[in-house]
Amino acid sequence: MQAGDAMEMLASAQTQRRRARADLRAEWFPLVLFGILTIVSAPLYAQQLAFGGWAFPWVYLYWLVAGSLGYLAVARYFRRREAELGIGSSFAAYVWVGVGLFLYTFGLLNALPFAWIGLVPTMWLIPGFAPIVAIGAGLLALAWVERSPSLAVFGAAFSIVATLSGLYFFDNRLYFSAWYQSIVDVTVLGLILLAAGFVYRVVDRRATNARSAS
Amino acid sequence: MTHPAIELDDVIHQRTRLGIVAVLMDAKRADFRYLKDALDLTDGNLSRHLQILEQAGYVRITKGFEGKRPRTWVAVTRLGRDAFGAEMHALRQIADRYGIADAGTADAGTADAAGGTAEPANGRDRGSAGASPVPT
Repeated sequence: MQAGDAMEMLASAQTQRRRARADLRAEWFPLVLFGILTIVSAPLYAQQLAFGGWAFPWVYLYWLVAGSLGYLAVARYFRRREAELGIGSSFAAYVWVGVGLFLYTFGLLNALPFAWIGLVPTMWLIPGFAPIVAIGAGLLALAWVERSPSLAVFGAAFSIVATLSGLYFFDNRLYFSAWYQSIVDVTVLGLILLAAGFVYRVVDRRATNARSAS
Repeated sequence: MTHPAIELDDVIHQRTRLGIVAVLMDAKRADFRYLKDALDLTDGNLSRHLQILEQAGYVRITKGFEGKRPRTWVAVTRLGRDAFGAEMHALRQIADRYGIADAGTADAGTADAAGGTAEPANGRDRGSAGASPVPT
């Protein structure tokens, strides 16, 4: 076999694999969905001041219900996409991370009475921010399913930004202190997810158009 | 030192069959229509290639219905993944041997262990041997 033939076969296999990966990806949907869910949750974060510094469990209850439904909606979206396109990913990692996140949020909800003794991991964040940080974990699972390095980087970066935000890091730098500061922080985090979703949507559309044109 | 062509697997060392496995490498499964469109093949041609890959144990074919519409799903097996990895490794070695570096590096398979047959490849298309097609 000649080197040129080997090169040609390698390039051909690489092209096929790249195309399949592109078809497997639809990062925009979970980002837009969880962006909306995050923004909708923002008013619930105003309650924490009224309850002696601890968020009323509605925030956790909201994330337990809305987060679970959102997670299921993403899985359903990918199943429908698989049926339409004729190609789909293995969802094992996504399912297991989803179960973990559900138990985590459920645990947070039930552990609130013990939070003050510091027994609950991530309770040192502003109350109610842990579920938002957990969205990053969901995105990482999805990045694995979709073989999307960019979503993995975004998911990790989002978790870091959400954690810092949950520690008043940005508010302190900006000398921002108000009763509604958590609402602003959560809204900004939601807008980040939404903006990333729209960027992915535009990039996906362009790639799809380019593929169909060729 | 043995020539890297020794590591080439006769089953997967064929452009179309390598393409089929390449498509399936990152997916849980793909259906017959997707593979046909992606690889620009006819029904009969794809069926013959799939049958060869299935006989070698490289893919698993599942037939079912969605509503009233029959649907054939294809998934790569562990053996198929290993064969793909070994084939890509051998192809890169051949390219490197003749001074063409970094060919297809980004597409390395999950396994580099040689899992192919010990026959030198000649790139012949066993799919044209007239095997009966896989019904879709």
